[in-house]
Amino acid sequence: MNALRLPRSPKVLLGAGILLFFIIMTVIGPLLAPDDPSATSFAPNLTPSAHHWLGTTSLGQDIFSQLLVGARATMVVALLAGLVATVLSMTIGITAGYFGGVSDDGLTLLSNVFLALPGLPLLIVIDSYLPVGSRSNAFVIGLIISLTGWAWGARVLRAQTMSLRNRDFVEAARIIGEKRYRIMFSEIAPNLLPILASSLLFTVLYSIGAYVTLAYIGLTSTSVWNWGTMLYWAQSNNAPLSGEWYWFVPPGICIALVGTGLALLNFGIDEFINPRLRAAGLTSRQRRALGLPRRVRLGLTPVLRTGATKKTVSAPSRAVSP
Amino acid sequence: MRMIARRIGLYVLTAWVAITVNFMLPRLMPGNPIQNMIGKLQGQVTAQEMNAIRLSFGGDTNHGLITQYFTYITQMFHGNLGISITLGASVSSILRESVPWTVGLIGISTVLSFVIGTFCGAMLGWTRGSRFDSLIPTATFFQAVPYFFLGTVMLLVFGSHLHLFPVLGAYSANVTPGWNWAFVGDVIRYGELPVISIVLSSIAGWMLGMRNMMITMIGEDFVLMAVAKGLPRRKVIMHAARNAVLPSIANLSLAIGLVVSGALLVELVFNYPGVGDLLLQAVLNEDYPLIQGIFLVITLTVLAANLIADFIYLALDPRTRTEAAL
Amino acid sequence: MSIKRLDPAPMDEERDSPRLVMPPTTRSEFVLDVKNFSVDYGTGDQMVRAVNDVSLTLRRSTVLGVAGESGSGKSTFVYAMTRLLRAPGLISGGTVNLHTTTKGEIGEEVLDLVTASEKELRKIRWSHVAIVLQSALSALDPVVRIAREFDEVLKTHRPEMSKKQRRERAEALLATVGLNEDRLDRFPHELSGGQRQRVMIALALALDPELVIMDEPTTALDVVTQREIINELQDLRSRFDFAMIFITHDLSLLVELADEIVVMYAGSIVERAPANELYEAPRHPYTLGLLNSFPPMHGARQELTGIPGSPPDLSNLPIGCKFHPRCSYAMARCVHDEPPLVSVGDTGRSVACWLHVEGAERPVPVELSRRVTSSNTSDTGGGAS
Repeated sequence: MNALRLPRSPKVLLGAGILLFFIIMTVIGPLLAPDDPSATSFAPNLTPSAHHWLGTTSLGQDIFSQLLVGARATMVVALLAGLVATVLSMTIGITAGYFGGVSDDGLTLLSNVFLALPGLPLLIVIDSYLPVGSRSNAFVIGLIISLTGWAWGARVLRAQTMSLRNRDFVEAARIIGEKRYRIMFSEIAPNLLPILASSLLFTVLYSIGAYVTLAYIGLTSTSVWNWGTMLYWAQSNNAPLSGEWYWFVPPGICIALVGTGLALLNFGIDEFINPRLRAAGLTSRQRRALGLPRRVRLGLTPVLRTGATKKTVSAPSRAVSP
Repeated sequence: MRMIARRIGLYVLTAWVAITVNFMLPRLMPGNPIQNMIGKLQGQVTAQEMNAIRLSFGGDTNHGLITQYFTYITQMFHGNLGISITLGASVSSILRESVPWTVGLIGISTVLSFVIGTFCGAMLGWTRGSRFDSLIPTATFFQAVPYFFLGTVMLLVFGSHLHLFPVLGAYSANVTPGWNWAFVGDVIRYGELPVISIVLSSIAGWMLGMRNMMITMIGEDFVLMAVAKGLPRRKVIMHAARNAVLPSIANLSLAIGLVVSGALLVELVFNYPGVGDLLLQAVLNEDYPLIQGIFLVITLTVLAANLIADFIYLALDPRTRTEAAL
Repeated sequence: MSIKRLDPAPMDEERDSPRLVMPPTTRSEFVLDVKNFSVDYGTGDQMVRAVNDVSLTLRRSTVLGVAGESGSGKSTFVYAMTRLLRAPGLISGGTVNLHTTTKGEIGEEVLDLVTASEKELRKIRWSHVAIVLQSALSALDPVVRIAREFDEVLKTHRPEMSKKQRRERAEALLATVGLNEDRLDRFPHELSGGQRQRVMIALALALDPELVIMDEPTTALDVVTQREIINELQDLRSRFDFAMIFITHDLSLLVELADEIVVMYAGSIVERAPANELYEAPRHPYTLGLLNSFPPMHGARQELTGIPGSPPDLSNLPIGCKFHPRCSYAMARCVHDEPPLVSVGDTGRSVACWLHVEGAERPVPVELSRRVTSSNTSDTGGGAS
């Protein structure tokens, strides 16, 4: 974060705050859970109360505990899939961009094919053939998700690598005789950092959606608690139609909030990559104080009111002798 | 036209990859799922049906892989996608019935979402810094909500509780399908809520993408020049928007796949008779011929949509036309 | 005879404020009259003053050259003046009076661009003030045919013209810059750099403006095309009747083109003089440096010496004369006091340099009183007093 020097806009802070909250939930959520999420030890269909903050399922399981425990599997799979996909797209994107020629053509074609293939249906097909044992394995699922989610990042990274390839510092490293993979990973990769970060956020966002969807349609093991399986059980017990909102709304909101956090953080990265997106200069309070319009219209350069505080040009001394 | 030729080449290749994935997947999986399925079917279906199913998976497993592959492709081109185990009908006839629903629902939703989202995004980009900016976090939230979850909430709130829309299915039981007003009106009424759900889930992507491109374009000299020329504001915005929309259209290939994937699940929530609902049933029943058929048809539809997007791009950006002419 | 607003209307409102209309009888010799104009980037702690208290006038049908290195504020100045400067730039004071005339009428109208509303600005833009940017490729909409650019401008400002008339006007305009009419149906990327810049110039003349602002229009071109464009401009000036502000860092080019030259450094005008005089005898050490940085377009070769140091960092300017750290003539006074822009001689020249003020610690150096290699220096010490 520090290395990226993200603009500290409210959007970025909000996004980072949301993500931090859920990361903490991932780490300590299962420890905080008051009950065993699978234990059918309570009365079924309880509405939220002091004992069961989010009520119980039709089997008498504590929903709040499921939410806390489910955070871990959801987040870990999403992060794992996102990381693997990013490593894949980095390797393929940088290789294609750096080497060019035939390997570029081949790899670009490969990523274009993967981009054109509809990801989720492909996932469903692959998953439906998996033996039941593998479906409950979060790592297998994560790997398969990453397989369908790397292509976009690879495309963006390739384009950026191509533009970096002929810069002076890369040229210099080549002349010194550094090895190719060293140039790729120690000279080029650091300069791709913002794009890598953006690509990671997007693949994590994609992965969480894909994982939850697979769980929702019952293609992951229904015994592993994640937010998708919660929705699966809620749906198959007709919770939405019988008005048990406390069963299916919380996991959905959690998924959406994690996604929002990722997307808001990505705003910051976008603004870092593309300076035009940065809000120009003043906060709205400063603008008001100076009598400036809230929004600067193109072709209508604002004029500072003469009444406003007009500081004389401060001239910090810079002792220079001619 | 070279660009279009290249794109068509890519899509043919992608279709081939999809077909090959269909063929290879069951053979790569541990435990030979196809053999298992056929074993379970023994005695439940007629010998003729069994033969069709076998052929649709490449025929006699004692033959070499290449022979099986050719049998598979030949059968597919003859329209034999096998027979659905659970529904008992041929996969191609089932798809013929459900695909139009999906194409209609998702097609209309995507066009609506793209048009409205792009328009709102252009406005958001132009009025950047105004109070409309507070829409962004809300839009981001909608972008992050899983389609099926939003669909469920919509169904619940506007369908079951407020009874504003008819829900579940694509038309009511008391109309006869066909080209009559009662049926068409019913289809529209029943389609409203699913369309709204898909539009709400997908619109933010177009909107935010367009906003960012719009802001980038406003930084360009030619937009400043449009102002310097004293053009009315509407024309200035058009100069920026026409250029800003190009990347959106170029990214349509990625987005269409995602939208279709999400929309399939909305069908599921609303019991819409399209391929989404069908896919879930097929997956739960391990109806492999049907799963394969659906995957194939979804892929082909997405590729066709991509091709349309390519043509639109070509029509809007003169630079690609020149490049293509070279 | 100026018609002034009674009170400045709120900046971001879309209405015409009531204006005091007086029967116009005469017109002034000026098309532009800028007073105490200042521009800042940002405010508060991060505030940087990019243009500092600039005043100048531009006579009708004359060419004013504005010269300076990057960061001198020359571009910021003209963009802010026309209210086209982007955020975070803001105007922090001054007036910019544009004197506009209408064909067939005797008098003139005066509009202060600094207080003008968006609507008023839209009306004078392009019909009275046109702009040509450095890169024509980025100034032309990439997805629009050249014909559309002309059509749009004419349709907006001359609604009475028919479609056919607009097309004919566009063809005629292209002809004046030596381009075939078939270029109209091309897209910008299908034209060469020189052709694009010619299109921009033709476009700028579309409405017979009184003022054309050229922001380094030849910098992005090769030397030969640059030469052609300059000749073209000279020719157009004799045929059309417009005043021009020409911005460049290339002083030698200005000497040829401009009637008068203003040299800017770190946001302020440091010297102003008729073009010939500035070339013959620069008064400010910075002007001398600029002159020595470019080979003259004509005439004898000279050694290029340039200016030591780097262009000023606006956020960290020295006290005193802002040029003193790079000035080889700097005196003790230059470190503490900023020299005012004062007139020297009797041809309307002015310069902001302590060397040319009475009682300077040292005599005016030879090269700052008469540059062109004559060994005789005693006759032109005029600048010193």
